[in-house]
Amino acid sequence: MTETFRTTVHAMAMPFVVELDDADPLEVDGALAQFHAGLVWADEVFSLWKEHSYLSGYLRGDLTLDEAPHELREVLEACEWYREQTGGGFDARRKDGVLDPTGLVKGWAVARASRHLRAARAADWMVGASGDVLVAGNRPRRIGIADPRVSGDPTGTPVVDVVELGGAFTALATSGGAQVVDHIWDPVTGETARHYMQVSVAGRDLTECDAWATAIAGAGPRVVAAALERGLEVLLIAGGRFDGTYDAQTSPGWPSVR
Amino acid sequence: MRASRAVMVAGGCAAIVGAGWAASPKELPTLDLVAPASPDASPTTAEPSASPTASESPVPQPTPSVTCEPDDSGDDEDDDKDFAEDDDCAIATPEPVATTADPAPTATATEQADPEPASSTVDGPVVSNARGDFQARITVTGGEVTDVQAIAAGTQDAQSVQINARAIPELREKVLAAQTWDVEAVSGASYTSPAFTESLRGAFEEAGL
Repeated sequence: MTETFRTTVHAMAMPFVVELDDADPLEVDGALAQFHAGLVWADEVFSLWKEHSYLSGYLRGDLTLDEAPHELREVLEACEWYREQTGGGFDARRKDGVLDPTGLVKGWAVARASRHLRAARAADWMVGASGDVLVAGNRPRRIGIADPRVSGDPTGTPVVDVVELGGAFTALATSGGAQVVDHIWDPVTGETARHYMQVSVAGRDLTECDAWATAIAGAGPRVVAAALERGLEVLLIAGGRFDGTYDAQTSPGWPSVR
Repeated sequence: MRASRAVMVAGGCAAIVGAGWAASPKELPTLDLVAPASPDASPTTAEPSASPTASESPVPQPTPSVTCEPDDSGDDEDDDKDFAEDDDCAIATPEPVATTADPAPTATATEQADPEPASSTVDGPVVSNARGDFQARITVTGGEVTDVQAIAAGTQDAQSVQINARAIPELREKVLAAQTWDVEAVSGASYTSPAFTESLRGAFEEAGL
């Protein structure tokens, strides 16, 4: 009988749901505190909304990359790397010239902070981070993908699809305009991207899934093939239909269990 | 000498630019959306019931002119410029009602004393995609779609407005001609076309067409 410990931690102005199966009760609190601290630390370094974050300071020119934590350079280089990988689909350079790695930071921070969850010695665990899901272990987990028309907490609303994570797929990232309207830009035009209503990417690495979901939402169909070449699976929601359902496309290996 | 030449050149340039400005179209294309009011609002009565003989109301009504033209060619040599005076058009508009074997008394095509061919408007569902929300309204008269309008189409974005101002009328013509929602997409309107036709599909279904 597995015993699931479930809790929510708040960081980066959003909730992170953590589920631990058969965790060591003595280690849980410490592991969660470390996990939370990792997310808070990432926010202190990368937030564009905080004037005193290292990224804000770097963009203002108040400090150099050498004076900031080396992770800042790491993430900015990762942005550059994903820009090349996605053929320019993921581009952290905003139209107004500001370097905005926000599209990558959440996935990266969750992947990084979740290392601390190992300390809890859970058989399986899952982190749900507002559209991004990371699991470990082999227990299959069913994850619902929210309707792009639903804004706010999608808990209890009808889902557009259900996927199974665990095993071949351990990470799932979704990008779209449901929660934050028009926050993804097209790197070609610099304007708000209007290719898909919602893009979901399943794979093994949350940072990678997050970057590709953003890239496909930003650059549209032209980068989908490149994502599939890397073994990622995608769900693309194109638009509504007359009966309230959606026109959508999935890649052949999309782990849908509907 | 050089100064006067410079003045001449500058003046010439100014004249060319000015002429170009004067000749250029000053208005961006716009699309008139109808208000999403109750189904039996003004558009219903304004459409086919406005009697074509009397020119008392300057209501813009594109529908009669469309239905007139094909019917008009054979039997009437009337000058087509003024549909309001063309009494053949008065017959042409209600004629489909008669031919579709409508049991209603409106079948008296020649009688203009009955100015109300029973027409109703049906709104389709709101269909959204990444370029905004789209909603169609159809006007049904005697089992036939006599008008197609947009209640919502895209966003206020300049590109969206420009594309929809062209695409929606084009889709409207296609739907009116084919009497089905399943018309070909308009080139260059890859987001408007499917969303608008999907909304039309819902409207057709609700109207039982």
